[in-house]
Amino acid sequence: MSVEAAALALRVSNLNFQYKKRLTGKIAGIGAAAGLADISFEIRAGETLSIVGKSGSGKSTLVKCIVGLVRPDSGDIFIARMDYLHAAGPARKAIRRKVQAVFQDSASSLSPRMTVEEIISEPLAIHRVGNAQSRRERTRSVVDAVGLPYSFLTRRSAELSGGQRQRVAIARALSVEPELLILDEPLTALDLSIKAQLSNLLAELQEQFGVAYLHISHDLFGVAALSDRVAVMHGGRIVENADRTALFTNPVHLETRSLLAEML
Amino acid sequence: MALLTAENIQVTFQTRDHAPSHALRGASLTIQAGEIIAILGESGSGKSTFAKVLAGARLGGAQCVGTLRFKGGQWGSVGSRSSADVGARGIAMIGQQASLVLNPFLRARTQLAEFVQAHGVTRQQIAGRVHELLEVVRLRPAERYAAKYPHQLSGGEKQRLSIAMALACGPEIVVCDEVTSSLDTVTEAEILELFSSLRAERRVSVLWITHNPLRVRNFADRVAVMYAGRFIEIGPTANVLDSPLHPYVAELMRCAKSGISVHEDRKGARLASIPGAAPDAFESFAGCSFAPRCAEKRDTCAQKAPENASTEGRGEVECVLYER
Repeated sequence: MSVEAAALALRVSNLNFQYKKRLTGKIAGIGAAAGLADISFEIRAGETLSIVGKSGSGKSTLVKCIVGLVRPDSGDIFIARMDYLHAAGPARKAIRRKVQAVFQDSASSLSPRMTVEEIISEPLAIHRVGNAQSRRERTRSVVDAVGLPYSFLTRRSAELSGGQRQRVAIARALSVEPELLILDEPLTALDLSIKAQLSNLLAELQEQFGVAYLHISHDLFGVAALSDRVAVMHGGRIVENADRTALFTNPVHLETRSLLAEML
Repeated sequence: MALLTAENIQVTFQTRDHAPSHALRGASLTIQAGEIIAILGESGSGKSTFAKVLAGARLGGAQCVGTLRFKGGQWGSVGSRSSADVGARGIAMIGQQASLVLNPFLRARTQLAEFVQAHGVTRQQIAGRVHELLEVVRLRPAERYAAKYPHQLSGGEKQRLSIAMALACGPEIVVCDEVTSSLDTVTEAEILELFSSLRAERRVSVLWITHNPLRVRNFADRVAVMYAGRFIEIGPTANVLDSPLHPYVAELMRCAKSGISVHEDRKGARLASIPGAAPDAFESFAGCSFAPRCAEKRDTCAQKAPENASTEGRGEVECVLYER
């Protein structure tokens, strides 16, 4: 393995976060959002780590920390080998470019007012990549990569099916050549036959671009095919983090077994 | 005995800007007394519209064609008031989100009492009937749950309360539209268990609508698969899941199984998928709705719609491969 391939796309160490009382008091009892307790893991370039766990296990909180929506109480996050939590200004923005996200609900994460071309090229404009001409070219090349025809560039998101919208979201995320893609339940809202199409596309794109995936899911559907390693979250902790084959064939933690039992 | 028969139901919504939307394109299904039948379909296939037709809901402005027979008697035309009246007596419907049907300001007993009262129970009997319904849906101890407000109940308990409300009319068929889709799998299993025992104790028929083929085994007696507004395969659960007849159902089951199987080889194994997407309701086509995606299509498939073919003991299928 080359030095390049072994480079860390993401390193999270000893991450701790507690929701403040003011926020949890009201929702306590109906599955209060878990904080994070001592979360540590790494993802190498071109690798996929899937984090699975039931609702309330802390998956979303972790994602929020990594994309910078929530500031952890303690711990470190290194994205593309750069210290994210202690960076500010332009340095922080440069790191932000290295991590992009695709969310579950593409209908609400894509602007209904913008055309597909505007949606995909917006991150390029935000990060001031190239000029108008090169942005147009980059947009076309990622649209190609996700398997959409150019005729879609002038459409708006409401005119697309769920699977097509998710392809647009992936193209947008890939446009700025990130090292890490956060896939937050990207398949959950899709129909079965479309889930498989998208899962295969994600696998192909990873082989093509060498981008690392942090894949979040509440069930294990498709996880085996997409992942190198699988981490199981429960109550804000990672209770098991294992090689994909080991996790599926020899689960250790009770929570992992219960997730596996649900698959069948 | 056939409890309910739906024949060639077509529902078309007129839209202002678009072509008419064909939600149902000739759906036919027979439900036996005391049977649990699962309707399996992807989004937009017409599952929910079919549920609404059976429940006698008004389909605002839609053109409805077809025949419904309930216990031998004809309903009149689909989507009319007379069908709504029959539906109100014998068929109840439960939806995905219990929180939408529960009034947040009312205690469980008050909500239930409204439903019980609407179905001709005397004032003296109400409390007893409410208590009985809470027991039926296993909200025990009933006295304690009767006093609770919806926000004091978990997601599964809320769904149980909405099931109790549906049972207040003493229905012979309960139509369940994605009832467990927003619940975790442990809670889902409990709800499935509840319906199994309702069927056993009260001989209630259950029409179970879902998008997930992996959750109907050991629950449904038969599975009916919907695609583009029609039932394309209907058969005993084990047959449909394990040895499906229609190419679409076969592919769908391959998708479902490959998503949960673990390949020993390195990662990157591709999942089974079906190319393209299902036709949307605005499209019109002459032949088979699945033809554009079908690996086994014949030259005639694009022009001629397949006829319904019965296969001995394995159910019905609409595919040219099985026509005689």
